[in-house]
Amino acid sequence: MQRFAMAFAIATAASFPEVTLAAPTPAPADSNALVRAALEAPRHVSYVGQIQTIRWGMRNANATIQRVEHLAPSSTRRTFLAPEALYGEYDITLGTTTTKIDPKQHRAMISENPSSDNAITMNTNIVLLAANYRAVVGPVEIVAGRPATTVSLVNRFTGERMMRLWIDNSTKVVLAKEAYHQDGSLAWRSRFDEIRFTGEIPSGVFATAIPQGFQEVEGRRFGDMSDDLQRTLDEAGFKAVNPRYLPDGFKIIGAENSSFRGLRNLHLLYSDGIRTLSLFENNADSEPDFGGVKPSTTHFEGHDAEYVKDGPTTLLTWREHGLAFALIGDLDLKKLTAIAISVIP
Amino acid sequence: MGVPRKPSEPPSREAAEFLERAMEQYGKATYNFAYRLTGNEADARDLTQEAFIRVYRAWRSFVPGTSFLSWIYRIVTNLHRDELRRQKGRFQEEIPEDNAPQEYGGSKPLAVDPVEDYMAEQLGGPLAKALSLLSTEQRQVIVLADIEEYSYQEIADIMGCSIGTVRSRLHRARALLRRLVLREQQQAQS
Amino acid sequence: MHYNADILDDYLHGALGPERDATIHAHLEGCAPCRTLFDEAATVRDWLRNAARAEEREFPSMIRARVWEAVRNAPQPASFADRLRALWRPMIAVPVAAAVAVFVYAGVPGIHGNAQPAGVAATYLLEEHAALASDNPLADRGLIVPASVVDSQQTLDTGDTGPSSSDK
Repeated sequence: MQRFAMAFAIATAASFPEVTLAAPTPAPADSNALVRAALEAPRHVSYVGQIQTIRWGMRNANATIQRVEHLAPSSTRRTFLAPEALYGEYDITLGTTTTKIDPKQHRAMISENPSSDNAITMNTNIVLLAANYRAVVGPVEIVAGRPATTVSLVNRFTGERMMRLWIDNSTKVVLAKEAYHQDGSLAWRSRFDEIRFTGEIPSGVFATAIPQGFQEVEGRRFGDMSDDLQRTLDEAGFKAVNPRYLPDGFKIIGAENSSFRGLRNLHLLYSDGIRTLSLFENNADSEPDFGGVKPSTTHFEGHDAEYVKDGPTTLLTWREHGLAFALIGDLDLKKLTAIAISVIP
Repeated sequence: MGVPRKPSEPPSREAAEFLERAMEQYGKATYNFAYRLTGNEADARDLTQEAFIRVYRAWRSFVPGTSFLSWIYRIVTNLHRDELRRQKGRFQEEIPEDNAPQEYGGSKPLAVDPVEDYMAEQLGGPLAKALSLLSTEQRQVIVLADIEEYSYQEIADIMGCSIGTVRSRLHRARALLRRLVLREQQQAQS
Repeated sequence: MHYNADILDDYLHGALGPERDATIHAHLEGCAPCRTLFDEAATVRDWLRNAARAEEREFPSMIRARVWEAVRNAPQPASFADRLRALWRPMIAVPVAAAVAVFVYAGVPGIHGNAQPAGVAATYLLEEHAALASDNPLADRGLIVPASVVDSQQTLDTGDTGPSSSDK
């Protein structure tokens, strides 16, 4: 049976759409451009909608439902509708400032994250993505009643599909996303149940004034991640080490020294365009505290280590030569262990 | 999902056998039906899964000798319709109205599932696209009439509407598809 | 007297009574325009059937697995991060001064003087990582849970254990 690729315009309410059945398959260059357009779409397109997100751990699933109101280029409000414990909480991001309000507990928190609304961050991500992932265009499917082109992001080195995107045919907004574990099973899924493209959002939606009587809790102030790796390592206050081995495609994208109650910490941030990896180091050389939850133990090359998994994310901690390390990323324990082994000074 | 815990209850042997046989014999047909209705794999999986859970819970009410497939198609159709209604109602409550009329389709995922064999299937071909041009009810009726080959009466039973409604939806859907299919045939020949 | 497309659709689907059916059948033998219209209707149906057959999908085995899982009503504990947050009350009450990647070790003598609240280290790290990971436009923002405490009535479990590699 002959297979046809269809290209069609979006149907207007009353008329029957003009449809042709013979259309060329997009060339690889087009699929990368499509992904890029999708990443940049929120800067140009405003919308309101409802998103459901489900995340699967080893034995359980957690879901949230949020109403989202976005005004291009960078004003976004998210209100939690589910689960019950989060109902009514909302956060408003204007550029790099995020205000989070918890009406039940009468608390508000404001944080700053300069790299979140930043062309350099966006470009870095896009470049890494194109270098490490092949964008494979798939069939058109319907999401929230709208035709969307599916694009699979396949790791060039392992051949594994890491994510799939559903990109709205007309606006290029990402209507749904799925991310997968190593074994191909779903790690999390996010999709618009409803979406309406409109810029007519009442300005009151983005009002960040903290309600009367609310306790303001100071939020995090993220510094700019430094691009000068060597200088950051030099300033760590101890002899820092970085891993000799990283999975294919991972590059360091930032480094930061910080001080907390007299303790100097180094944070190295790596990405391959989709997955992010953090390496924390300090010279406190003491057992980390997981509270009442017992981490699992593992062992590599003469080192005892502890780990916990939170959905697709694994945290691995160990100590040696007077330094304490923690690795966090969306990688399985085996990969994190391999990285950890290569960190050994 | 997450917070409330349900007590565990092991399935009875009869119920388990019923469910296993049902999925074995009708899983594929049900899944394909759900896919044609919803237009995407994720919703189809959720719908199919939820339908079989219902089948399991209501297994005693199935009358042996009657069509299992009609029964489960009715369940799938109802679930799909309920989902759409639920979304429509909630959305209109909470989002400020604008002037543009909108039609909301697509189901909210009901449950969880991993994904299989994506590379093998660069499909979602012409049928999926053709069906995407129809409304939900039109899609239901076309799939039941032309693909599953049910009679108008059987379709009315599955969809829970009158034969007159089945007829008018079918005529409209076929009129929409006719132009599409015929143009494609012409192009294929030229 | 000719028949329109709708009637011929009904005829095609065998939805007309036997008398009407026979009448139309006879008419089609001798009427070219109606015959053409009927052939078109049949073409549409054949196209639909063939397309359906070609696009038929296999029954995903994970549906079966998930149905069984649901049927057995497996209890669903909260995620690890939720449980840590439940321990850490109130959440983010400790002001953070100009810090990104803060890595705090609890209970370290001589550094803090007094013990940190339990659970701060690991959950804080996870959230630092998650906050920066969410800068990636492909990351999921629905998973960043805002400043609230999930019901601490949850009984604690050991952490989600990954594939065990402690014997390696």
